[in-house]
Amino acid sequence: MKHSLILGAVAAIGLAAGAASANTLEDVKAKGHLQCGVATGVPGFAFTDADGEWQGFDVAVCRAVAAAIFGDPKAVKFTPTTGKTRFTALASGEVDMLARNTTWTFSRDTDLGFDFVGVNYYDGQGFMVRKDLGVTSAKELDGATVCIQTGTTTELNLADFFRTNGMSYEPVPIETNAEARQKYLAGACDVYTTDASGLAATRSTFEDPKAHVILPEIISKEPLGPLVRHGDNEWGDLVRWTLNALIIAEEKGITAANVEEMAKGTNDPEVNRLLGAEGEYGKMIGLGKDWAVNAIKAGGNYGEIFARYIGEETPVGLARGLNAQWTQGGLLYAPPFR
Amino acid sequence: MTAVTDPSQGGFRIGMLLSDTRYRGATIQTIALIAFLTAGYWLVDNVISNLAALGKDFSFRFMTEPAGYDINQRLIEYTSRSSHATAAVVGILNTLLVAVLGCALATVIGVVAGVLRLSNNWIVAKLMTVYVETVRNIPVLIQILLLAAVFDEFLPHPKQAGTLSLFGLVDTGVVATNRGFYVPGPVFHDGSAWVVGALIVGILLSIGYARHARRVQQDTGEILPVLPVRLGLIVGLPLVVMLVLSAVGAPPITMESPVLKGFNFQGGIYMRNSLVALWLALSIYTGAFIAENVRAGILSVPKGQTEAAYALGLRPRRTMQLVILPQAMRVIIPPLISQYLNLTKNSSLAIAVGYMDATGTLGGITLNQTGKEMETLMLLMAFYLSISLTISMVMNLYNEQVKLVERTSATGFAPSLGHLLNNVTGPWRNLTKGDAQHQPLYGVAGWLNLVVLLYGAIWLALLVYLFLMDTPAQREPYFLWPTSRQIVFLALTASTMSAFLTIVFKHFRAIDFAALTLVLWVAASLLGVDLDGLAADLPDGVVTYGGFAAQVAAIAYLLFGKRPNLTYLNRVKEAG
Repeated sequence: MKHSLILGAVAAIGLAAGAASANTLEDVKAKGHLQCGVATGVPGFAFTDADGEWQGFDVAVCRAVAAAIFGDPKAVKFTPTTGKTRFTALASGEVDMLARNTTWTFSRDTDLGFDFVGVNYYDGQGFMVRKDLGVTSAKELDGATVCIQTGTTTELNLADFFRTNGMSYEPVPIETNAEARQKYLAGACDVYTTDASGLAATRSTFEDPKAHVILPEIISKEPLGPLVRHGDNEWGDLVRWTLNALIIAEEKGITAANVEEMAKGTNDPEVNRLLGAEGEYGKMIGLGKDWAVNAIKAGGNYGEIFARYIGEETPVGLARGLNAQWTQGGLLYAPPFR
Repeated sequence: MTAVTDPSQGGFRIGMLLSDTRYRGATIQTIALIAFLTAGYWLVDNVISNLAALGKDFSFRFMTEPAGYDINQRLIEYTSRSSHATAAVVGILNTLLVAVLGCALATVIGVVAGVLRLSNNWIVAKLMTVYVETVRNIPVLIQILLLAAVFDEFLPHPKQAGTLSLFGLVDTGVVATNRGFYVPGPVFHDGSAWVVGALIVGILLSIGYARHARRVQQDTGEILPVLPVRLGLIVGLPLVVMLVLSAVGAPPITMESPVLKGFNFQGGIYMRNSLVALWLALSIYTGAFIAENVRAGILSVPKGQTEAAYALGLRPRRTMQLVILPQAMRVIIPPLISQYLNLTKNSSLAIAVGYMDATGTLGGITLNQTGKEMETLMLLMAFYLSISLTISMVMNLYNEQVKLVERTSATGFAPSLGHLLNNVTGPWRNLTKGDAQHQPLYGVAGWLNLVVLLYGAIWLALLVYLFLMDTPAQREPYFLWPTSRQIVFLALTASTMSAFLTIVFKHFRAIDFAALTLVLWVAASLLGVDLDGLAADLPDGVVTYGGFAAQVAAIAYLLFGKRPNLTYLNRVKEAG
């Protein structure tokens, strides 16, 4: 309480001085670490490993941003947020950015006062049921009991899907993925619905993943991506281009292993610009020459991160699908770096 | 001595504001008030400017937009296309449902446990001690989660579930699954109105009989059998009507048993696990506190009272009923109020088990989907505040009825319109002072009931108008009205509620609220609130002017009418 009063006073003084929006990059540099909002625990996307370190596909974005700023992927602290608390955490300044399977929508981008800086996973909402129910299509789910995380876009899609198909259902609202897993496994709900990637991730932690099936219907577009507060464009640019750097790195074949080597200069001018061998591009976003090198060194390029946490070799076992590079028939298409 | 009698020298100096004890108090209070107002202004200003910095405006317009989400348990009609306001009402009703169910069950558990803890049976007494000490020292959230987990994990899946039977003999028709409990429910067919009518007649007759029995006892001392006769009237009469109707044609009311259809059971009454877990956990938890209140209340009555009653020849049950409990109630009621309040506020833990109460809909999903933290949380706080104040007021008024009234005790010295009117109203002073003019006034009680009905009806109509008419085609949504109209309508609703509740308890302050309601009624119609819309079927003007006239009549009756002296009725046995 006292703390928030002091914060309030500081905020008021800041306002009185006419500085409407703080410079997030300056703040982060002054703090010495990045504060990043992540999910409370989704296998493959955001989880703590045996050493208590945060790992995962979404977490890797935070680490890349931290590495770009400080040269150290460990200079980041994580705030686990639920579907309900995430926006308040970001809007209030409790976290500097959110990398937490959050769907990019119009009202979140405008009315809620956030900026989505890009998409790191193209997803869609799916349904998971037990195989022994014999259900093969989501259209057969009339009267089913459905577990759903509250405060998500999936909740609204679900209502629309059942309404437009003239079916009834019984929603069981829950807070976190772990709780949903427990309810679903206990049979308290017939169906669990969330982003298909989340379903696959959750299924990977089941004792017998083969006894559960993800239905073919994908009922929505769910472009998931990191977001920042609206109003600090410099900070938004920094996060956006860190994400783009990881995507360009994959396209250009820059990996964690060869990034140092390539930073010394290559034949490809775009690679040279990205890695700081040519031009002063780091300066344009308030960082050093080697920002992209550090970001890529932190966890590898986009493809490496994908393969390590959620790719087909992992228990989550997701195919690249829509998330392949545009050159491979996917949707990943970073603007040119120049 | 001279110092005191000396006339004060010179005029008023500014320094005297602090040095002179005559002014010091006022000075300090003025400074404190200014400081308080400044702090308040600063906080509000800070919120507004910070919201502006975030690019957010402060408005309640989102309440009229479609909510977009579904709610599993809804006591009124609601779909995902209904407005956020309707979703909030669904949540509020769910909160009230679990609060009412919880308060009732907690009282039963508390009274039983409290009495049994004083039992002479050692094992029973110790068992109750263990219950009280264990349950009230474990956080209620953990108890709620524990019950929910037990239901989830240990009750069968609908596919495996069958009806529960009593000791393998009687099939109860109840199905317990890991989603909820299905209880056979009544289905009303043609002719069921007769049965309901018989029930109402039965209740009225039983009240009449109870009065008759009381009069007979006071006149002659003969005790008539009350309980069996009343039970026979209330239960027996509808049962006879139903049997007759069934013999003539199709039974008017049948019981529908839950049947497995598709994924879940259908039919009967469905009580979700979230509701049952929350209800039981809150009741068991609060019951432990109430048990201690009850025990304290009973122990507060001196043993000599029991012995005196025994010496007069009263049996133990009647001793408890007539001597101990009436006195114990005075000790039990005040802490009971705060237990009811606690239970109601604790019901906001519902979201932990996915029960969609007001915190779950308005303060949960609506907040999240619209991003209006300030607005939704303020509405939520207003709701909990008003519901708590209402419970507290109702219980305080009840306490006023049961508390010991002495000849000299007044109800307080707070400046109020009621006190100003005391000189005018004469007989009201009997109520406030409990000094009975020994004349029972049975006849006019009926008129007072009419006043109660009047304010009850107005209040209900205002609430329905405010929340449930989800029809933008018929009228402008509340949140789009001009601010002045919004405020006066809200104030009118609040004052009608206050008038209704105070009259229900025959409290003399009812005049204050009735007068306030009348003023607000006029203000509302002047500001253009569509009062005729409260009952859209009636011709224009009937509600506005009829309501005005009825209220004037009600106030006139409250001021000048002879009214039943309830304190007298409750306290003093009829003189004959």
